[in-house]
Amino acid sequence: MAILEVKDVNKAFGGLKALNAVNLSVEEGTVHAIIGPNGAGKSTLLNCFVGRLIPDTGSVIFNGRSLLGIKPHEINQTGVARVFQTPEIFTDLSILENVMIPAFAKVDGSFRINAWKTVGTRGEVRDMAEKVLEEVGLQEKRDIIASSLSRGDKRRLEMAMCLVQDPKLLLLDEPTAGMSRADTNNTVDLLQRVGTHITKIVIEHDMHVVFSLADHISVLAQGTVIAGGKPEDIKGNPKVQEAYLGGRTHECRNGETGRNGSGAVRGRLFLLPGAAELLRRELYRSGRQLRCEAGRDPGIAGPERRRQDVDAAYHRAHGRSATA
Amino acid sequence: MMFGDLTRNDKLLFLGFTIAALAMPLLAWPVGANYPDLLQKFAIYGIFAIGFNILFGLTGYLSFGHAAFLGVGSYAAVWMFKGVTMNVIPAVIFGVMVSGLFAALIGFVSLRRSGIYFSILTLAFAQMSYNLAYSVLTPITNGETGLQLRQDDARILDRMFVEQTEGLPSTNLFGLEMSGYPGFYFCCVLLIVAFFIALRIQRSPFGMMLRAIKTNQVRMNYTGFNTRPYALTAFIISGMYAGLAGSLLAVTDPLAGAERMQWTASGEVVLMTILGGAGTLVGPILGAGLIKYFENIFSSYNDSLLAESFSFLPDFLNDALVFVIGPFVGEGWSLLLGIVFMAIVIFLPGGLMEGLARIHGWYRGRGQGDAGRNVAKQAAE
Ligand SMILES: Nc1ncnc2c1ncn2[C@@H]1O[C@H](COP(=O)(O)OP(=O)(O)OP(=O)(O)O)[C@@H](O)[C@H]1O
Ligand SMILES: [Mg+2]
Repeated sequence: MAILEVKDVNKAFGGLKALNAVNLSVEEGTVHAIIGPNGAGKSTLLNCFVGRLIPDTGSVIFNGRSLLGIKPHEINQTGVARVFQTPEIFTDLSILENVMIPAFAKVDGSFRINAWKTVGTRGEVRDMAEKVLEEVGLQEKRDIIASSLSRGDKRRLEMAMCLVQDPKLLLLDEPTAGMSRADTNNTVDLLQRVGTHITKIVIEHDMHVVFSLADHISVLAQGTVIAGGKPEDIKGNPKVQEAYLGGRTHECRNGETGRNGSGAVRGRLFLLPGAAELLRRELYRSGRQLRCEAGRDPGIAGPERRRQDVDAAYHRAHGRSATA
Repeated sequence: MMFGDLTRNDKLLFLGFTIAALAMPLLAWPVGANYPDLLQKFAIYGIFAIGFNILFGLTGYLSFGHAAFLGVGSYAAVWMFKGVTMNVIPAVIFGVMVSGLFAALIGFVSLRRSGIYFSILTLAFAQMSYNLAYSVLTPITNGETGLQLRQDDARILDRMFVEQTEGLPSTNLFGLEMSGYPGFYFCCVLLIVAFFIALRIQRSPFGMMLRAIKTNQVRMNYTGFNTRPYALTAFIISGMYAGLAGSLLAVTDPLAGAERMQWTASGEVVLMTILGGAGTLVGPILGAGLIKYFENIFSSYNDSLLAESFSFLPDFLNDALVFVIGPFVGEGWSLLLGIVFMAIVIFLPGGLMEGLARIHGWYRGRGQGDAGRNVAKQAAE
């Protein structure tokens, strides 16, 4: 049975069609991966599920109920939790408090004034939080202030904050972004271990993660689902290869400075497994500062120190030089 | 379930606070502040600051119009004195309720925005209230003159039960006149109650939600919380605290004027809270006490008093000192306050409580660096 049914969703930002007639059906209890190059509209699609954005047209049905026009907190109360691309946690509070708060939302609902008894009297909520912290491996750090966590731990914490609510649908926007190889493996392991009954939608660039987790993959490119199916089918799909490696695709994120703007922009590469894993990771870890020249395909230069590494890796991957 | 579920530290904190508050006349004696008029102010503005802190320190909404609730509380209390009885209990209850209602109204509108827009909305509302009190609402507020007691006030209950005397009656607690030390101790007991309630709020799940709203409102929404009613509740509670403070001002001196609602008064409570340490329980009260104390000292000085205090110095030095210090006392006291405030914000963003915590940290964990400091900071809270 489909727990989430997305039909003909369109969303435009000004002239930019971020989502173009997107159709998606997510089966209950499965892990559904959404992959696609940067700027394909993956995060935008998730935003339409949690009430951050309202699609221009189309419908999003969760568990038989439309999610459009409903406030974020109500959507969460129906059982949808989300891990954001940049961690959204309570940086000034302790780890334990960070996890207890969503537990309170689950137990007490979206608004309840219990201002007299202390938090200490709510042992059941604390137990819920401690149990999840144990599962994600943060129990030792439970009294630390969240802002002092490492990037990997922050993501793990955010995952714990979602898991403690035992949602029906868990949305994960790049849960391993910025993680070391070891941390990534931990996360994959975690997602395979806990909340196995929870339906998950995972946006991910790391193909290793995608192929370890996904039961079903949808490929999004320029706002359209260009392919969907079992992981084996996606791997060999020529359309998918084309979307990533083909001529017009930007290989580095053309972020806030505009699609064709030149100058330093935050960036990272996206390539299919085996193509240039090395290059991808190299850029990811070291640089982030890629240069993206207007009209050039794809003009890339790493940060000076790493420049040779990047060039070499790119050359290995593409058989030509990255910096023209 | 009054104390049972509080941690040992909180029980000690409350006990210590209660003792310190009751012993305030003694504690203030070495600095020459042990007279009831000033002590009353410490207690009243302490309450005001505790309430402000619930909204600003805990929830993260900076209101620039809190004096409006102070004023409303005063007006409401004076009306109770005029219309019903000079007993302070009904006046205080009425003052708190009316300002609570008023806060619900203003909060409902202002909380549609956050950040600087929220601050500006509250400021606008307070200025509006101030101007209304001066003009259109004169029948209620008695305009420029301010609302005062009169011989021919109705005082329904008093006229029924108490024999009327010549001259203006005074506020009382079942016959005990609310001036001098009795007045101070009445305020003091309410300060302790106010502190206790704030302590309970801060330690409750509700308080935890308020802190979470301050830290990350977006996460709160996607975590299933409807943050608006939480913030509104905090706003109303904090307005009621201000109303309590306002009605106590009327208890100790039964008149109410519009200037109590002016933006400078709103700004003052912001200063008190930040100076003492926003988000801490004790800090705002400390800030309130300090500001009221120094205001009392410095604003009463003038050049000739200054010259007198330095009269032991040779003339030219005396003149020079008066020339340098003169602008910062008397009318210029706010100039001094401004400078101190800037210094605090720059060097001690956590206010005096952070300062105390640092000293404590150095003392306890010399060489332990940050870790010791953080422990101390938590202890101070
Ligand atoms: N709020 C917004 N306003 C304007 N444009 C937006 C907004 N959100 C996203 N976009 C644009 O829509 C496009 C899709 O963005 P989206 O963030 O969904 O991409 P993505 O697939 O998540 O990419 P990434 O892998 O880099 O996270 C991009 O071109 C982006 O610039
Ligand atoms: Mg994204």
